[in-house]
Amino acid sequence: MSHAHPERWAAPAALAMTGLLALYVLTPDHLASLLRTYGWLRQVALLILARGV
Amino acid sequence: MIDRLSAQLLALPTAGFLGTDASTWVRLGWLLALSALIWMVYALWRLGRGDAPLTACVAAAVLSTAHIIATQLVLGWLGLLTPLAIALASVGLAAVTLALGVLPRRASIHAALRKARLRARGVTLPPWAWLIIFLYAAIVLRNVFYGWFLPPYDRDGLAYHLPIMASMVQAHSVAPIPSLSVWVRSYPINGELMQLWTFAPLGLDKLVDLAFLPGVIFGALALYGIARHFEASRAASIAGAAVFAFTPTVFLRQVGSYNDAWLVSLFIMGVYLILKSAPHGTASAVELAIPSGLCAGIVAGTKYSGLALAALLGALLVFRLLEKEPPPAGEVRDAAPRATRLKRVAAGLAVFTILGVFLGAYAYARNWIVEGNPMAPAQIALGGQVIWPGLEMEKILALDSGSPVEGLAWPARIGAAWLDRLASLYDYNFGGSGPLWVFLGVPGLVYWAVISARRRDKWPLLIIVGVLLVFAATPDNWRPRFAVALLLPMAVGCALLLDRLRNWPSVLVRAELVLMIGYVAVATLPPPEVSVEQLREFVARSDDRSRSAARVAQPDEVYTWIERETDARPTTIAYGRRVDIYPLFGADLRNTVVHLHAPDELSWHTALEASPAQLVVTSLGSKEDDWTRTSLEFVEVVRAEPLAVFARR
Repeated sequence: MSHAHPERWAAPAALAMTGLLALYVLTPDHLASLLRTYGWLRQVALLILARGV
Repeated sequence: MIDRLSAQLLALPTAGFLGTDASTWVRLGWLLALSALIWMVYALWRLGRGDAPLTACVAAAVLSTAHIIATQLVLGWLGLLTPLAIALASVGLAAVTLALGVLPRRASIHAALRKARLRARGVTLPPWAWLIIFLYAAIVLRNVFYGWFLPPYDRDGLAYHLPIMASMVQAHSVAPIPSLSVWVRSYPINGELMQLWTFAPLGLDKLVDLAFLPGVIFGALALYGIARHFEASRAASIAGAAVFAFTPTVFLRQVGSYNDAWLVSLFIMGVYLILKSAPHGTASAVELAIPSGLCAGIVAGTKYSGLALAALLGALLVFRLLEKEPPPAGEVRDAAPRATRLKRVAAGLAVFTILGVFLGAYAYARNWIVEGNPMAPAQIALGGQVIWPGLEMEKILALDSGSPVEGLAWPARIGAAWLDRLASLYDYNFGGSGPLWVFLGVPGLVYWAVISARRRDKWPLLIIVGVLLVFAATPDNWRPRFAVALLLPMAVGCALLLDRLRNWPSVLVRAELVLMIGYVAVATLPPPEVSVEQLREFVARSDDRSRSAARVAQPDEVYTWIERETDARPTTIAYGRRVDIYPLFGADLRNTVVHLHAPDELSWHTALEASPAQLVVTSLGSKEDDWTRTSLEFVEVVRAEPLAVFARR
């Protein structure tokens, strides 16, 4: 299935996908989900440091 | 913290460790040992018969799943569904396979294991592929952690999956459950039998949420195998399998009662095993039909949509059996004549149907007899003619008012759901497709479809068209969890696409794949709907009995009251419509839940009085609630919107 020469469509397709992915992750909802994890990890860490498990 | 852990370890024989007492640890060890033994016996058997190691592993996963469901189904039919009978039947079946299938082939198994070890030493993978494997292991550990410490709490699990399991445990049988909930009465039971397997030896629901975890992992492994079958490189096949494995609606369903990911994993295993076995003669046609027939039976008996996947497996099997047999090496002769091939199809299809019916048809036959509709509660109509009356699909899949997809057309729903614009990655209703699905899966699917159409590659086209037909026939297919089967061609296409890319586009796409995997892993790290404080309570301050669904079910006033009241004095509980039944049982199913089905007030009173129920839980405003209020025997003891509890005077 592998081919020696890169396809003409490969570079623009990869770039287009990168752009779309960036748009996907940089939307407020997805950024918020990352922030949520950060907040959650911080809470867990504080709880363990303050009182032990 | 280390001091506390060592103190807990020392106290293990009496007080337990991590909230699990010594007897439960022993039972857990037994469950894991028995499950591993069954899988290993089947894997060695298949290895001894000449399967490649990956094929043997996947075939063993299918055979073990079928073993678990078949033994419990038969015991359930006989009314002997007890932990002891399950253990004896399983050990007996494994011992027979060991004696007849493994021991006589010791030499070839040793040779196959040696060869596999040597081959494994020569395998090299790029660092990014190792990173994917590492992240997957981390995600599985995360799921095991939550499954281990948190009680079952997903909505459908509490409403009907787990009540079905609990009712089967208490009845020692798979007999019809005369519940007020139509889903408890009619839902197919194979997934619940898997949950029962984890419940029975423990007498606790500690591991019921992890019943589907091994199957979903083997599904990813089979997908890797399918990509390899279509000549993708090892690393690209890992990337392709990752598109499936790291889709949130797939990996999050390693925990819980939602069976969609497990169901599709078994379908993928079936496709893989059909692709990996070459039919030569009638005998091997039967052998080929066995694993695919088992997969078909399991998926058909798990969920209604499994019927379509089972039919697709049957169709793929027929195409495989119709294939022209290549002549033996060095011989020049025509392929098998048509009559031989037809005989092969007939033999294979007969075995496939028998196994499919054995493992998959029970719930539909039960529904036909009890409800008058095999597909109950769904109404089945053909060309406007109602064949089996029931609820219309629009009512079954009705959206709540204010749903984010209300008023959207199908393409808009697909776009919004596949981009996770409707809900969080956790959501089982509207979200969960994640970025890999749409950004790598969809291009992969399109790419594979185009190159296969150009080359007229029969098998890729059969798989793509088959899966798309199933997708088209699935109601509400814009919901990612109903469309998980699409990930099969998406993942394989993605693997082939990655192999095709060269230079910087290849590096870029691989980097994006790893980053997106990292994104979904990080974004779904906290458990949904459980706060840090609650998690702490469950991990550090609870034992296996108090890690119960009653602690997370709503309204908590009602469920925790019942939990407290019945902690030392198990009781019998009746319930009305729209009540989550599972938390009434307790984590160790100490309470007996009676299913009273009464069409009117008089028969409700008669049934209640005749039943041993000491408590009745009703939904405020329901008929059963109104009727119980007029009872002279029962008085309200707790009320919290939307439920009330009545106790016998």
